[in-house]
Amino acid sequence: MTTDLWMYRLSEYLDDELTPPERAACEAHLAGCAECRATLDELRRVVARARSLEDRPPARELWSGIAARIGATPPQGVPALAALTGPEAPVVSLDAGREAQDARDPRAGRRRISFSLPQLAAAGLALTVLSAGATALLTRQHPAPAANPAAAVASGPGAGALSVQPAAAAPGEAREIAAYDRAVGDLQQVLQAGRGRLDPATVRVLERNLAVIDTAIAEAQHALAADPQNAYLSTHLARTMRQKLDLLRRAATLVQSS
Amino acid sequence: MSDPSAGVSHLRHDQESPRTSDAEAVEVALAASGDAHAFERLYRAHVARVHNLVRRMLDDGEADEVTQDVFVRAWEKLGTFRGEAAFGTWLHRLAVNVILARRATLGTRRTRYVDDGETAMELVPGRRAAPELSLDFEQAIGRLPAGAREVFVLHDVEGYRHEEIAEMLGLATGTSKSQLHRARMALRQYLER
Amino acid sequence: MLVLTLATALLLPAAALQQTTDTTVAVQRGQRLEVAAHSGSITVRGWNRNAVRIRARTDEGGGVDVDTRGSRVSVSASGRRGGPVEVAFEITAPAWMGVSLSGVETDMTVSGLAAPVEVETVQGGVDVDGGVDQITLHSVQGSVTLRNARGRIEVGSVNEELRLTDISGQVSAETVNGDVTLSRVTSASVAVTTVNGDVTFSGPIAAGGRYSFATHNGDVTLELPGTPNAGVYVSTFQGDFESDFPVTLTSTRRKRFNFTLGSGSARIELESFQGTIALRRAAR
Repeated sequence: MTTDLWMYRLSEYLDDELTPPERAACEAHLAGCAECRATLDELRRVVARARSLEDRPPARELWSGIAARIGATPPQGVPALAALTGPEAPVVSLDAGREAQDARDPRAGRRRISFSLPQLAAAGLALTVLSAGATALLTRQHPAPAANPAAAVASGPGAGALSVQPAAAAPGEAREIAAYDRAVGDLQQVLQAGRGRLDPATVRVLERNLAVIDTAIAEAQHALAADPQNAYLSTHLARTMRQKLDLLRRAATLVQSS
Repeated sequence: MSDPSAGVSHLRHDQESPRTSDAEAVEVALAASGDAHAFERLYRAHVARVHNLVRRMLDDGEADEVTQDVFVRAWEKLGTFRGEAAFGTWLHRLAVNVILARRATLGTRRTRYVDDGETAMELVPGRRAAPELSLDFEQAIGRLPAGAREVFVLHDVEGYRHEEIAEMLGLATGTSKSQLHRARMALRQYLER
Repeated sequence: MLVLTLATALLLPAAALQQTTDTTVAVQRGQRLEVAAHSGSITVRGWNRNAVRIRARTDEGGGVDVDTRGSRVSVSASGRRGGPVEVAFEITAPAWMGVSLSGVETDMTVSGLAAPVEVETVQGGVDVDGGVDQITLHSVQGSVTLRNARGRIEVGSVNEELRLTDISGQVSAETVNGDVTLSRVTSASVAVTTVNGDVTFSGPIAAGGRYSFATHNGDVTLELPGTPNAGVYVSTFQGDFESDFPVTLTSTRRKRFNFTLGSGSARIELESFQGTIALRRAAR
């Protein structure tokens, strides 16, 4: 292979991306270089071949998978927003009877939300910063045999473990974890009740992004469980949990103002 | 495009897009309001193009799943489509974004676009192909190293400009041009005779 | 206190927005502009007159309210019987005038202002060229683009990307499902967070500056000119690290480590859970 300088610029010449003086110099070179002319011809054929590629339809039928994911098939029972953070997450409402009734009541979607903005702000701001103690708590957690009903407002497939107080938690740290769960639960209830007031596209986007964050939380928790002393992971987990809270606050504010 | 002797005179990716045709505009509006049947009709009209783009940019094995991802994402973002370009163009660009996000999500080591110029590019050896079997052109594209493959598909197959490709892939324009050239040089020998 | 409810004029229909309004109000230095539109678009451009010109296209029956009282000029639109209406606002305001735009299904575009800019929308995109002092831009489902701005900058989206170009000042950028791209940013304080997306940054590293870039599912790429002086702290769980700069690691841990470039004056934190973290030399 020669170290022909123009060989490396033949594509640019072909695509008309050389400046006029460069193009003139290239053409002068081509006039006297058979190898470059041959290469240029081959490149032309490659480009022509690329442009003539045909589109074959997919071998498998893909629509049913798409339909299931966009909710075009009937939902399985619990409204999507109730399982806001994962299909398995139980949303234990403090007023389970009323919630079930609201699901049947066609006026429920139009019921005025009773939380005030300052209350929402308080719920959300309670944990804008998880203390170093709480972060350390996360590294010591271990899965519990049964959910603790006092902190039962779970918020995601893996986050159930956070609701349970590990054996030797200091009172302050345990309070922070419980407060986080409560804040997340309160905000989820606001969203569930106010879902009908938001544009469906917005609701889909919020659900999708909460799922994105929950996946990230679950991955971080999983990794942390395998490597509990990893300070990066616990900081990363705390950050991601905070992002979830931020998004829920944002979403609840949208409901309030719609 | 610039080369009159290329034989094929139209761009697959039409940058000066006509507005969405009236019939399709209705489908898009219906789908954006939540009508899944309308969205299915849009899907049928565009799935082949999307699937082929995905297949050429990623691998055969993921093409089905990522194609579904593209349409799910399109459903979610239909509300932001304002009709300022053809729906197909908008969908295509969205597909490119999903593909690039997928590439990142897999944790694949990001290709270093080293432009050393001296080494000839070798195609990645296939897992199953016996050495005596010659690859057809499409298969050869699939064997290009990831970086050159993406630039080649976006530029020569899909018709994006280097400035757009550079922006999408986070490259310098010069890197995009050199990757394209190396891809074309490597693919020369796989032209069907 | 001046409240105008403007009579609308019928125009030959072009699209759904059939009625137009065009009015200009005089303003004084120190006043701020507030515009609200539930759906449609708001475009604000700067000029050098001490007046605000409001052009609006609304549905039939829609009206535009312009309220100047004290320090604010408030512009909004309402439909028949006061309900929501789709409106396209085109507003020209003095370049010194701070603006505050709010909407839901509203695209926002601002250009030519040398003043604070605040934008809040849900389903629309945000595109701002210019802005000083305090720039706060938020969308939920739309992307946010900011160019040629300086000051305390805070941008955010949820489902889309953020693009900041030719920026100076303090920068905070956060999204969930989108890339964050900062180009030609001159700052001593940068904080970027996304969950599902790549982070790209190019710009000089200031002495004593603090830079933090974090993503969960994505790559972090910094393009730095010259020879930066920074302590670099890299954390990744499943990702790789690449550097154009020479790196001498003193610890043996591959996924969490730090090293020093030059004098180590600034602090750069790079975090990705499962992506590639890369430090590149900026091309000349």
